[in-house]
Amino acid sequence: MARVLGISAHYHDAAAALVVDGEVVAAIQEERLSRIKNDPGLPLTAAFACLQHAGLQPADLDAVAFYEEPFAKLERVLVHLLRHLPRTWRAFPRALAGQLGSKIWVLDHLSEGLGVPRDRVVCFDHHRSHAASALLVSPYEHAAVLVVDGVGEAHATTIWDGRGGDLRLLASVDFPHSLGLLYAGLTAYLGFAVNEGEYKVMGLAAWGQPRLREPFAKIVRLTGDGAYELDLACFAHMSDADLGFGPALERLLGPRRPPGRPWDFTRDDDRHYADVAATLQAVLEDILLGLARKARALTGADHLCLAGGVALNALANARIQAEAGFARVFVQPAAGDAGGALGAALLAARDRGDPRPGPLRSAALGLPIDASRAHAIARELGLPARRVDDPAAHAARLVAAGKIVAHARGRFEWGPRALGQRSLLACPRDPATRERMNRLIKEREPFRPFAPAVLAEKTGDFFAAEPDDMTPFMTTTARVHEAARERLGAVTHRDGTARLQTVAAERAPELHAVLTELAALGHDPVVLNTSLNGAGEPIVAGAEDALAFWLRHGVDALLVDDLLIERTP
Amino acid sequence: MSRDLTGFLARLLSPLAWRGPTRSARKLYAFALAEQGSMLDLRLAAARTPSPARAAAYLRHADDEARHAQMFARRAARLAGEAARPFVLPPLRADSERLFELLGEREFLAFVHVGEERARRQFEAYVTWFKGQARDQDAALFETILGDERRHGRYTRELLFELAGDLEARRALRRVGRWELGRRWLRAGRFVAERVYLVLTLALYVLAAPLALLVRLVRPIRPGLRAEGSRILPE
Repeated sequence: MARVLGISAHYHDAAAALVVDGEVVAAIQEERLSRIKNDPGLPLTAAFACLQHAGLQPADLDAVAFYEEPFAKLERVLVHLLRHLPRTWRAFPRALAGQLGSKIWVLDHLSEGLGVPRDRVVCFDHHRSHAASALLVSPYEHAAVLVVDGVGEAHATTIWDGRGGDLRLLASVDFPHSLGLLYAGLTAYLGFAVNEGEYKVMGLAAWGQPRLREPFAKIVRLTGDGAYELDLACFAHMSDADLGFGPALERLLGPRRPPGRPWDFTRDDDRHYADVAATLQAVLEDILLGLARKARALTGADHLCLAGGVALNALANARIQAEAGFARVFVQPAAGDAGGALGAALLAARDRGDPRPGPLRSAALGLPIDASRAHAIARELGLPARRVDDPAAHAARLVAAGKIVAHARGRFEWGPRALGQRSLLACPRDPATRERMNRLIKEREPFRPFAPAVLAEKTGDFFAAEPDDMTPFMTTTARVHEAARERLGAVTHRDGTARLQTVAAERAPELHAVLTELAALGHDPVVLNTSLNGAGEPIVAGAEDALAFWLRHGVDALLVDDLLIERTP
Repeated sequence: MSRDLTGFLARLLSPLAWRGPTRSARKLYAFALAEQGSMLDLRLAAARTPSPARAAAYLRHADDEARHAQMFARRAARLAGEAARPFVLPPLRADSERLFELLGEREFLAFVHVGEERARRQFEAYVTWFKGQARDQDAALFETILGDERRHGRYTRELLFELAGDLEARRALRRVGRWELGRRWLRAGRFVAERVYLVLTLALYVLAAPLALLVRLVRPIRPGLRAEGSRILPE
C-alpha cells in the first residue's frame, strides 16, 4: 500500500494529486491557491495542501510521480527547433532557456522542494499519464482510451487499449500534426488567448454556420486511416510558440480578428469569424469521430475514455457518445494537463502494487472552506454576515427570488468546471439573468452560454438525455426539450443545446440540497450554474477568496458553508 | 531610493515616458500589471495572516489594487487604440512574488508601506506633469488613485508599528530598504545576463545549422496514424 503524490507542471494548469492506498484523496490545481490563472509553475503549494489535507508529511510519501519525461521532451523540442531552422531563430533562445533552466531539472526540483529523496521521484510518459487519469478512475474494466491534446513528449494523439489497470499503446499521431494545436492556432486567429480562449471558440461555433469546409479541407486533411494531417504552412507552432498560426492561414480564411474588439454579429466580418469557429468545430468533431471509431475497431471495447485538453470539448464529446458506437463514454473532469498529475500518481501507485481506485464519484477533491474564518473576517469588514441552520433552503429561496448567489460550500472542485461547490447560482428562466451575470460579474463575450445544473432524476423532464458517465462532470451537452426552452431561457444556447450537469446527492450533496429545496418551493429543480470567479481570475478556493469576490462583484448573496451574507438594497 | 530622488526622476523622465499614446499605453499597462501583482500578494497575505482584522485590511487593499489595475488597463487600451498604428495590449496576467511567505508579515507590511509611499511620490509628480500638459484625463486618473495610495501608506505604517512596536518596525523598514537594493542589483544582473545569453544561444544556433540537415534526413515528419505494433507499455 503506497502514498503517492502526482505532479503536473511547466506548461499550463499545474496540479498535484494525492493517492493513498490506491484511492484518490485530494487533487488540487495550483492556480486555485496561487490565484494566478492557469498557473504553470511547480505546484508546491498545491502539493503541500494535498499532504496537509491527508495529515501526511513529505517523508511519508513512497513516491512522487511527474506526468511527463523531461528528457524525451527536450529531445522533441531540439529536433523540431533544428528541423525548422532558420524559422525557429526567435523561439530557440527562449525554448532552450525553458528546457535547460527548469524543465529538465524538474525531478530534482521536486525532490528539493518537497524534501523527498531523489530516488523516490519518478516520471511517466505524458500521454500515458493522461490515459491513466481517465481509465483508472472510470467505471470500465475494458475500454478504448483516446488521448488528444496539443503535444506531450512527441505524441499529439494516442489510442490505448485499457484493461483493468493496464494500458497498451496501439497507435499515435505525432507532433507537429496536432488537433490541440489546430484548435489553439484558430483560437489565436479568432483573437482569443491560447490555452484560455478555446471555450470561447466552442461557444462562438453556435453563432455561425460550417460553410468554410473548402478552405478547411486544405488546413487539415483526413488521412483515411482515421487520422489527420495539418497543412503545416498554416501554422507556426513548430517555430514560434507565441503566434500559433502562419500567413497561409490568413490567405485561406482572411485576416485574423483583432483581439479585444467587441463582438457584433451585425458586422459581416464577425459573422465570418463565427463561421470559422463553426467550421472548426464541425471538422474537429468529424476527426474525433473517426479516431473514436478507429479506437473501437482496434480494441473491440464497448466503452471509451477520453483525455487531453481536447476532451474538454463538450460538443464533440456529445457527438462521440451519440455516433461512435460506444455504449458508454467517460471524461475525467480535469481532462487537460492538470489531470496528468492524477494519472501519474495512479500509475505509480499501481506500480507499487496498489489496487485500481473505485470510479470517480465526485470532483470535490480540493480543500474545504472555513466558515468560521470567513465569519471573523466578514465581521472585521463590517459585512452583515450570519450563520444559518439550512443554507440550502436559503440559497433556494434567493435563487427562486431571482437573486444571484455565490455558493461556496464543501471541498472545491478538481478541474475547470464549477460543479456546485464554488458556483454562482441563479434562476435559469430569464435571459436577463444571463445579461446581468455577464455585465456585473463575468464580463464575458455575449455569445458564451451559461450551463444548467439539474436534479439527476429530473433530467429527462428538461433535456433529451439521461444522466450518464459524463453529465455529473459537465463534459457533454444535450438538447433542451422544445417545451422547456422558455423555462430554461438563460441556459439554452443558440443551437438549442446546454452543457448540463446532472446532480445526484452522493456526488454534489450541497447543490443537490439546493435543487431539492427549489423543487419543494414549486420551482423547476434546475439552476444556472457558472464558476465563482471574476473575469481573468481562477475559481474561488478559500474563505478569503470568497470574501474578496464579494467585495469586488455585485452578487446578491454569498454562502460560505453555513455563513450567509446578503446585500441590502 | 531616497524620497527626493523618486519624485525627481519621475519629473525628469515624464516627457519621455508619456510621449505619445503608444508609450503612454505601455507605461499604463505596466502600472496595471504592477497593481494586479500587488493585489495577488495582498490576497495571499489575507489568507496567511492569523489575524482576521489584518486579513480584512489586506482584502480591502487588494480590492483597491484590483480596481486600480482595471482603471490603468482601460486607459491603456484606449490609448493603444488611439496610437498612430493602433495595437492591442495582452490580457493582464501578473505574477505573484509571494512576498508574505518570503519576508514574513512584518517585512511584508514594511515592503508594502515603502512601495505605496514611492508610488505616491511618483504619482504626484505625474499629476503635476499631466496638468501642465493639459492632459486632464490622465491627471484625473492618477489623482483618483493617489487618494487610495495615501490611505494605503498610512494604514500599512500604522499596522506595522502596531504589530512590531516602534523599534522593530523601524528595523523592518531598514531591512526592507536593504532587501530592495539587493533585488535591484539582481535585476540588473539578470538584465545583462539575458542579453549575453541571447547572443550566445544565437551563436550556438548558427553553429548547429548543419545538424538541421541531418535532422531532416534522419527524423522526417511522419503524418498519419502510426501503429505501435507490439510496443507495449509498461514494459
